[in-house]
Amino acid sequence: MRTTEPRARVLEAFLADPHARRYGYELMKLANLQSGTLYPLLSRLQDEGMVTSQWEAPTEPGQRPRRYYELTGEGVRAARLELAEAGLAQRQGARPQGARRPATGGIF
Amino acid sequence: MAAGGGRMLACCDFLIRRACRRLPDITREEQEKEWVGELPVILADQDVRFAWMRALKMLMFAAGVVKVVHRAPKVTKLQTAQNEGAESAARGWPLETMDGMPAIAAMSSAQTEAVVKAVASAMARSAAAESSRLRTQIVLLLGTIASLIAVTVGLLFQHVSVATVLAGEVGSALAGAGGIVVFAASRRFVRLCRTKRGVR
Repeated sequence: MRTTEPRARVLEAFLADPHARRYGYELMKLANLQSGTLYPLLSRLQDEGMVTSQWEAPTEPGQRPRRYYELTGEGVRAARLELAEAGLAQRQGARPQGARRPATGGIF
Repeated sequence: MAAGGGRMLACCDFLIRRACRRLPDITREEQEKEWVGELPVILADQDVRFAWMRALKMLMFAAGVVKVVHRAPKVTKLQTAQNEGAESAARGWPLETMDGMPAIAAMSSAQTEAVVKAVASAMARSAAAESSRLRTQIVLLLGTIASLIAVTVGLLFQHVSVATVLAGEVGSALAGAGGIVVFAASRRFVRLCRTKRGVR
């Protein structure tokens, strides 16, 4: 799967503390993404089994229940691998064009 | 929480709950609870210095959620009608008990959307055809009032999608701009004709 920039940012936000539980707005701030981008991504990550979610009951009156997301054990491994692959692909893409092509020989 | 913040919270609450009606039954309640639960957190976020900025962020959040919902596969018309039937009873809009309103409430979503579209296109046509300043202003005013009534009726009875409302508003804006352009062009044309004839 191609790692898009927003996906990489969400995974990085999760990997900053792999065992921390994070709620949507926190992830929005960490990954610098809008809700319209973040929630479909989270839903996809959940479908892939990389992320699980849990509801936290309100502790104070007037507070609303919130949903917390967390990387699964497999998710941590897969996220690290995915980010490493994405970084490698980026480095290869950034290499100067001439360096990838072998010399074609002389003028004639 | 400031009164303005509370009002904005209620407004964003409404936007999200209304958008979530488009979601299938299985996911609707959970998604709605999640998104609505984030709103007070955004409003109380101390990392954002100004209250108006927090309110704006909350509005952006709600707008993003509406975008997500509109991208999601739509529930069927039958499901929507069932959802709306149950929810409008719970919501208890006062207008639904007024005489004459059941006729409007009974309009299908296609009919209501057609009314909104017809108002927008009629406004565009009339504004483009007008050249007199007074008549243009009257047409624009009447068009705006008609558009607002159509949009309000549509929103109250939950038959109009946000996309249609936006399309209606964009249509109104374009109609207004078109009217002004036509008016300016016609005045310039008259002035040019007068100059050519030597009339001052």
